[in-house]
Amino acid sequence: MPEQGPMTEAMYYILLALLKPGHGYGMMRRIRELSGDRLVMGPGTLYGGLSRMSKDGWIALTGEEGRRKNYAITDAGREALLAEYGRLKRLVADGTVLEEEQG
Amino acid sequence: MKYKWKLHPGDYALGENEKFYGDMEAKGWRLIKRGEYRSKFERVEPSRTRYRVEVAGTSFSDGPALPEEQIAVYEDCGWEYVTSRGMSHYFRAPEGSDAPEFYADPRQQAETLKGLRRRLLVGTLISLGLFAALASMILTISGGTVELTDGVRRYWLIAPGLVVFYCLLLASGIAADTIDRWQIGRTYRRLKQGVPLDHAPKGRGRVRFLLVHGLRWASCLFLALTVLQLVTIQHGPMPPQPDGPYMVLSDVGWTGERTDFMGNTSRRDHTRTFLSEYWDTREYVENPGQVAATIYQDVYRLAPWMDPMDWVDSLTVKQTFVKDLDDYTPVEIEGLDAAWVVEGGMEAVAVKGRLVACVNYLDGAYSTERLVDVLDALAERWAAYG
Repeated sequence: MPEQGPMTEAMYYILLALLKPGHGYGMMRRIRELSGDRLVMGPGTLYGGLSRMSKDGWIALTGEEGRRKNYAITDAGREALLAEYGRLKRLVADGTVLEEEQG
Repeated sequence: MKYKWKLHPGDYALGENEKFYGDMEAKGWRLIKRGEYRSKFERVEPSRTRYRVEVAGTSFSDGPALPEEQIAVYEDCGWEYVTSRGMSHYFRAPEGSDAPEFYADPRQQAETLKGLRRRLLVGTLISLGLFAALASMILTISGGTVELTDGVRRYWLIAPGLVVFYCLLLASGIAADTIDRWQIGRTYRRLKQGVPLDHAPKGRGRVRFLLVHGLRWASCLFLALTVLQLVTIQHGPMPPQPDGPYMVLSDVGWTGERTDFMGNTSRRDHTRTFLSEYWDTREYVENPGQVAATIYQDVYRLAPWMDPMDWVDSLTVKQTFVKDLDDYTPVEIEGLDAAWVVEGGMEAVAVKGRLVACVNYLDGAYSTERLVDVLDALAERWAAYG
């Protein structure tokens, strides 16, 4: 399996939100909560992310309510999210040198 | 309910359209439908409203419709789906509402234009392919670029409206394609560089409208002029005596009955434009006990400012077999400024003053002397015509 490149912020948060299955609008609200109101994801960004990750097999359709579709993260998506989380943790750990320098 | 139609910016001027519809709503006109050139509005209380365009079909295989699910997500966020035209879909939300912008990152919005750019490119390539196929077909039929140029020059004399119509139509197609591709390409590159879409740009995409539609309307005008010319062409049977600067077969001794030839009857057409007056004749005569004689004449009287010698080598393009004046032999004919014949053939050409005649004479003899007789007879007719 090729090494996974850095994820976009949008993809990272969509996958985080989909740890609990949900539909588009529910995901947007959850992303806002998860980011402490820092990230207000546009519907275009969200829909683009869902399409792409659905194609990549990171998320899967679990059901439909009218026009709304429900998604859940797949095992591959979870793996990718964990890999990204690990990468971000390493970045933060590497950054501790900054705190040491500033005393 | 009061309605109104108004011309809108081109489909690919995204920000211009958003501003246009927002401005209209501020004046109390709410968008209800987007047509090809104009949008339909209904009268409402003026309000400040944000309009946004979403382009469907991020990949080439996608259709022009926006998925229902995508519309549902947008509506859940506070956007109202209004209407669509082609791949462009229009949403609106009250100014100041918490409906979030579609894209926080312009680079994500750039991705939505990829499919449209590919479609425009494929459209251009198909148009170029069709144009190349048509051009090669015309070149094959006309016999080469020289014949094609001569044919166009001849049509310019007898039907300039038709030539201008084709040129303007071609120019409008090229202008529309170039502007659309440039506009969407520029938007794509800016978004890709992280520059957000300008939702309130200056101008309203008028340049494209004026240029493309100006050219189209002008081409329609010239088409109408051509149709007018076509309906005013005088068609009729060949008169017993010429009513223009052409000759009849009786001038060279064919005094028998006019007859049909391969289903055609003797006839004379006449038309005029600001560049020329044109007579097109066909005459068939059968003398008792002899073979039939045929004469086709294309006679042009050019405008006073035109030199016939500049045109004569193009006008021979309509001759039956020998279309290049270089293949003719010059002959001295009294009363003509210049004359040529095809030795042992059936074609002759004459010039005098502003008159040019391209003659095809056939009596079965294929005699150069007979062609000279024909030109002598034509010179007499022209002397009488003045």
